[in-house]
Amino acid sequence: MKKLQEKLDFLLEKYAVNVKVEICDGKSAKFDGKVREIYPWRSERRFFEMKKAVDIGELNNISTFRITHITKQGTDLYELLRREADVFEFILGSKIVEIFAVENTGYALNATVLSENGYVGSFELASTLSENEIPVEKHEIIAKSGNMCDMVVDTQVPQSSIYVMKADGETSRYTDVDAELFGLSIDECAIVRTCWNMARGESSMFADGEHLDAVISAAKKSISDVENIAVAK
Amino acid sequence: MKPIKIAMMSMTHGHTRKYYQTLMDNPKLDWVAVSTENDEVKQIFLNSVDGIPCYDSDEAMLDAHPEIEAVVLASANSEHLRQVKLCASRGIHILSMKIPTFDMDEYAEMQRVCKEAGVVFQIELELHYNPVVKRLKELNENKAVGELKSFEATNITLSPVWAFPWQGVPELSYGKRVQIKDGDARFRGGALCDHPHIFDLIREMTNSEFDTIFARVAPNLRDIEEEDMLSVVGKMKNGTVFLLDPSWSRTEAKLKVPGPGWEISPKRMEVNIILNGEKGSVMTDCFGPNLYTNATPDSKYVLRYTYFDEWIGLVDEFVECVRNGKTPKINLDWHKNTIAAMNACYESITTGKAVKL
Repeated sequence: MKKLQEKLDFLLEKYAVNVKVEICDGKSAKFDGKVREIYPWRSERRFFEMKKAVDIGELNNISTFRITHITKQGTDLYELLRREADVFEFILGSKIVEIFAVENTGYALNATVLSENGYVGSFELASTLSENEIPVEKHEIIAKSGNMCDMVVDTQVPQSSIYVMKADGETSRYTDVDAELFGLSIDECAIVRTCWNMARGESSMFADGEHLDAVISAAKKSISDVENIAVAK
Repeated sequence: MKPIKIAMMSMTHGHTRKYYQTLMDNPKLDWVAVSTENDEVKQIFLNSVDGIPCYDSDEAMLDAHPEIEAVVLASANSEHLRQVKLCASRGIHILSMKIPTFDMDEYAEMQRVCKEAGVVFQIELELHYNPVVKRLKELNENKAVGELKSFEATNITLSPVWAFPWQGVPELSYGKRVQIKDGDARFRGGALCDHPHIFDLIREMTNSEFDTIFARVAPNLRDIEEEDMLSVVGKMKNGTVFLLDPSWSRTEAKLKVPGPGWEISPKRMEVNIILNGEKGSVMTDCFGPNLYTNATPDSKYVLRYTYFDEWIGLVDEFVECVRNGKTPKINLDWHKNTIAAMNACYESITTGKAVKL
């Protein structure tokens, strides 16, 4: 966290933001002493651009938001669902009101949701990959006006900006997305950017944590009752 | 640090819009005014930005705002020498678009007036501030794939001539009307003039200069009077061989103001670089991955870029140079050999022979 804090301090000073921010972990930060939950993915540019396309009506008459996220073994799938539920709501600007979920404990969690605007979301989540594998993420909005996706057509795995392929068989890859925060991973950049945006009072960074907790509770109840569950208000 | 009082001139360059956000966000800058080339450009600016005074001539702007310390030259290449002299005579620092001039006498004059006036002259080659390029340079410096043997790069885009018409006029883009080769109706000033980046990056990444250049034009994709397709092959002085593609090979709709529906080819701008070394290869997409959509006019499948923050670093460097008397990395002296290499491409096309530099 020290590296992230240094980068955050750099941004706060550079842009003259007079709020003291201390990153606690990837989930919360102290703003002038007050601890707040953070939602780092809200600062990822792919999500921000998707949200913009929805907000300005480029994507209109939305039908379905399909989300796939396969990550490392041992990942808490409910935590992953909470994240992706927030991605769904952040981009579409509509809260989840119903959920039907199934789980194969420790490996996979699938769900279909309904938002208050009538949009449907599908979540295919799994925690099966090795520590070294790059998570597979796909977010695709399907609308009458067209589709938008963070994975290019005809591919199954995310692309990187740079591939280093050595003659001895070793391959490595890099994706650097933020020049001011060079050296941080995409996830780390998102943490720093979100804290910075919150310090600047960027309203889109703030989520309804209690509501997301209610979505997770509803998902658990759906799994145990095998029923479509309304999310508590 | 006291914010720099900065202005923009002409507003006819394709990169003009890239500065708006940075000039407004960066607390080290105070955006004072702009001058526009004509009424049409003025209207486009006024529709895009609020609260910045807009003048009909460079002189009127500078006379009205003697506090201006620095200027972004967002103009046609043919305007640069006049504007450089104007700014230098008033001690105003300059951030220039990527081609100061192709005329080497004019180039020398720019060097002289800037030196005599003691002003900073930075050239906008924004790829140096791209995080992917930064990583690539790091891998190259660390010899991730051993000694570099070859460098291949694209700097391919759609053609900006419909939105930024000066780029389609040889006198305004190249500086004069020069037939591209015998028996060919086209003139210098097209795609090559738009794409210096890869000619610049290869010099830094090989730590060497151009030795031999051979260039060939291909049939045009568009009915314009300049070249839009070409390829360049050659060797650096350290032996690294290269192939560069600086074409306008991505097709576009003829929009007067860039916006949705501009692209016909899915990716309107690509800079991909391959480094082949003695121990492997590095493949780089300087602008990817992105978002992909067909929620566009005519439902064309295109990509939506998510990585365009080069102008932040570029302007940061300019501020640092102006305030602390430093020399920008891409200055007139460094850039001269890049322009010379681009001129060698035109010479090679004209003569049909390789040019030794």
